[in-house]
Formats: sequence, C-alpha cells, structure tokens
Amino acid sequence: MTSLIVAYSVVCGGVLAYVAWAGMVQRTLAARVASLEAWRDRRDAAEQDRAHRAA
Amino acid sequence: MSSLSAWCGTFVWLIHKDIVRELRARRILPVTLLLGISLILLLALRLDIALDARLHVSGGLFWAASFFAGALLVERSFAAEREEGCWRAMRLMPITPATIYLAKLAFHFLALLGLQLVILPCFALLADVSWMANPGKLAAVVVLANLGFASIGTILGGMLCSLRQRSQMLMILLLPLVVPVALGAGAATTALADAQPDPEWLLGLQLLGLFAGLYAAAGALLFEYAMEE
Amino acid sequence: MNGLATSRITSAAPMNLVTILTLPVAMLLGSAISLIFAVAPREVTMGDAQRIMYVHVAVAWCGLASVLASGVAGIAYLKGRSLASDGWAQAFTEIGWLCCVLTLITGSIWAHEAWNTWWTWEPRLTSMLILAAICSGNLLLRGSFEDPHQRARIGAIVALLAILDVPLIVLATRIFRGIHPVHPSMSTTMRAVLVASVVGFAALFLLITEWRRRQIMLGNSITDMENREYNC
Repeated sequence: MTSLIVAYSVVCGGVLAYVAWAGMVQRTLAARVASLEAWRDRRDAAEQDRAHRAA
Repeated sequence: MSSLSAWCGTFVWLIHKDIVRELRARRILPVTLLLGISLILLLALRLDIALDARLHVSGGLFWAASFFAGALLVERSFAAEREEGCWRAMRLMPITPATIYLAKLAFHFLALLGLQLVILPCFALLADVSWMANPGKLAAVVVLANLGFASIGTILGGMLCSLRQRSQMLMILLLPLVVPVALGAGAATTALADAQPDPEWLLGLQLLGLFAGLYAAAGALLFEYAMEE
Repeated sequence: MNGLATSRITSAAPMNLVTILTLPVAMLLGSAISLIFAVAPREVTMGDAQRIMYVHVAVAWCGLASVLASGVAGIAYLKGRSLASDGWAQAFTEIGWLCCVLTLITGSIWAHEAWNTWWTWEPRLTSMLILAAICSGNLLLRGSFEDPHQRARIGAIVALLAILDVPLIVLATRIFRGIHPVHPSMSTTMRAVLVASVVGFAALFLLITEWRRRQIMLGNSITDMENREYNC
C-alpha cells in the first residue's frame, strides 16, 4: 500500500512541480511585458516633452 | 556512370584531405591515443579478478574506453575544421551535405580503427583477455561498432561545429545516443571470448547493425540541417 | 497603437482554450483515478501495489507519444521554418522528458514490489533511461541558445535522433529476453481501466503541452518586441 501511495504521489508531485514551474515562467513573462510597457511610456513621455519644447 | 565516378572522386578527395591534414598537423590521433591508452591502463589495473568475471566485463570496458576516446576524436576533428575556416569553405563548395557527412564518417571510422589497433592489443595484454578465438566475428563487431559510433558522432559533431561555445555539449548528447551501440558491441565482444560463442553474440551484432544503419541513414538525411549556421 | 499591442499580450484571451478545457480534463482524470482504485480488481500476486501499473503504463505511453510528436514537429520546422512548429516541438520535448522520468520512478517502485530490486539493466528499462538522457540533453542544448531559429533547428535534429530509440523501447521485450512483462494477462475490467487511465493522462498532458506551447510562443513574441524596442 505504501508503494502505491508513493508512486501516485510522485506522479502527482511531478506534474504539479512542472505546472508550478510553468506558472513561474508565466509570471516572468508578465514582468517582462510590464517592463516593456513602462519603457514605452517613458519613451513616449520623453518624445512628447521634446515635441512640446520644439513647439 | 560519370556522375557516380565524379561523386566517388569527391568522396575520396574529402577523406584524403582529412588524412593529409592529420598527418601534417597531428592534432587528433596523438591526443586521442594518449586518452585511450590512459583509460585502458586505468581499467585494466582494476581487473585483478577471476578469469570468468574478467571475461564477462572486459568487452564492455574496452568499448567504453574506445568510445570515450572516440568522442574526443570527433570533437577535435571538427574543432580543427572550424578553427581553420575549413568548415565554412566546405559549406560554400558545390558538394552535397550528405557527401560531406559520409566522407567525415569514413574518416572518423578509419581514425577509430587506427586507435583500436593500438589500444585493443594493449587491453588484451594488460587485462589478460583474448578475443582472437574468432577473428572474423571480432572484425565484424569492430566494423559495425565503429560505423555506429562514427555515424552518430559525425552528425552531432557537425551540428555543434558551427557553434563554438557548444562543443562541450557533444559529450552530453553523444553518450546517451551511443549506449545502444556500446551495449551491442560489449555483449558481442564478451560472447566472443569463448571459442564457441553464445548465440547472444548474434543478437549483439544485430543490435549493432540496426543502430549503425539507422544512425548512418539519419545522419545522411539530417546533415544538411546540421551544417547550417 | 503601442499600448494596444501590449495590452493584447497581457490580456487573458490566449488562456481561454486552456481554461475552458481544464475542468473537463480534471473530471476525466478524476474518473480514471476513481476507476483505478474503486473498479479495478485487486491482483492476486501483488495486491494493491499492482495498481501502480495503471499510472506507469499511461505515463510511459504518453512519454513515447510525446517524443514521437516532438520529432514530427521537428520535421515540420525543418521543412517550413515556422517557429509555431518549434513551439510544439519544445513543449512536447518537455512533456516527454517529464513522462520518461515519471515512468522510470514509478517503474522502479513497481519493480521493487514485483522483483525485489529497484533497478535492473534490462533492455526496456535501459532504453527508457537512454531516452530520458537524450531528452535531458535536448532541453539542456535548447537552453543554451538565444537565437530561436538556431534553437529550433538543433532541437529538431536531436528530437529526430531521439525517435530512433522509441522502437527499441517498444520492441525490447520481444527481441531480448528480459524480466519486464511483455503481454501480462489482464481481465477485461483491468484492460478497460488501463485504457481509461491512458486516456485521462493523455488528456492531462495534452492540456499542459498546449499551455506550455502558448507560453513559448508568447515568450518568442515578447523577445521580438524587446529586440525591436530596446535596440531602436
């Protein structure tokens, strides 16, 4: 019985570990997108500021 | 017929190029021989066991040493091509990738054979084992095992050749893929220690033949993609 | 326009198919597990430990199928040079690796119950170990490339070489004399539960593969955008 529980726990644990890792990857991707959006906002603000001064 | 003779001429020329380069520069065989002999020495030192047990393990040990040295051989062969700009030049020549693959395979096969001509007698002497009861069968095992190893080594070496930082990955990829060849060679060689070898010998030879053929075919088909940068 | 593009990336839309299928797949897998424990008969020789076979075989077949699928996706990439094919190839390689490792572990536990040994250098076990090592090498190699097309090309070649091991695993017990069961005798109920287990686990791994593939494609898109934005 112990071996049965261990085997199913290993499979369950292995799948969950992989899913958890993929979840971490998802969070990393979201952070990269947020970083990209922030960079774009800063760049757009700088361009608007330059255009305003030129005018 | 003329295209076949042209192909043969190109094929022989490519092998000749590698042999002449090696004879002049001696970048591959000396180092490989040194590694092979060191491995054989190391393994034979620990074979101070009963004859039966020694005969049982010696086949596998010899091929393990041979293939480790062979991995270095393949890596240095492609490193030499890459460093001198030869690899890039070959990609630009009007030669099919399959021809380049087969020529490199033949060169690696011959180099491995040269290596084993030295380390096999060394091992037989130091470990006090003999497989010469069946020289013809041993020759068949050696040819197929070297063909199998050279096939997979050449495709992986070519794939990693263009990527200079990744040559260390060759060992990581090569060893698992060479295990079926090593298993077949080890089993067949071990069986040949008897004057009347076990039928297991034929099973080992069949496994060798299967993987040698599969790897050579896969290599000829995939080398075109392996050569890209 | 730019804001619209990024909000498309971060929107929940790409997860819809995966989110929709999560519950049905969970129910399918749950049913399979229930059948294993409630319906499958208790085996005479090994008792309850024999139920490990249902998950071991299911995971093994999923692993072999994943390796084959990654090879097919690799061929598709080499022919069409589309990174969408490589997304499938990488996702299937990862799942194939996971399934191979789980197969080895569950098989080892089963072997200890059946043969009183954790491991034996038996043809099928050895060839499965080789496949796990090749998948590990493939993933390690993929991780060392930044250029997605180089990564895809190398991954495709290694995946195609890994396929050569699959027939050896399948035919090992028939060609070589080993102790791994070839065709164990099973009752109709056992066979039905086994099929249900294979279907349940296949659905689970397919769902995870699809999720992971979308992530890989998303990662490629983000990398493209970063290269354009940060380098201009």
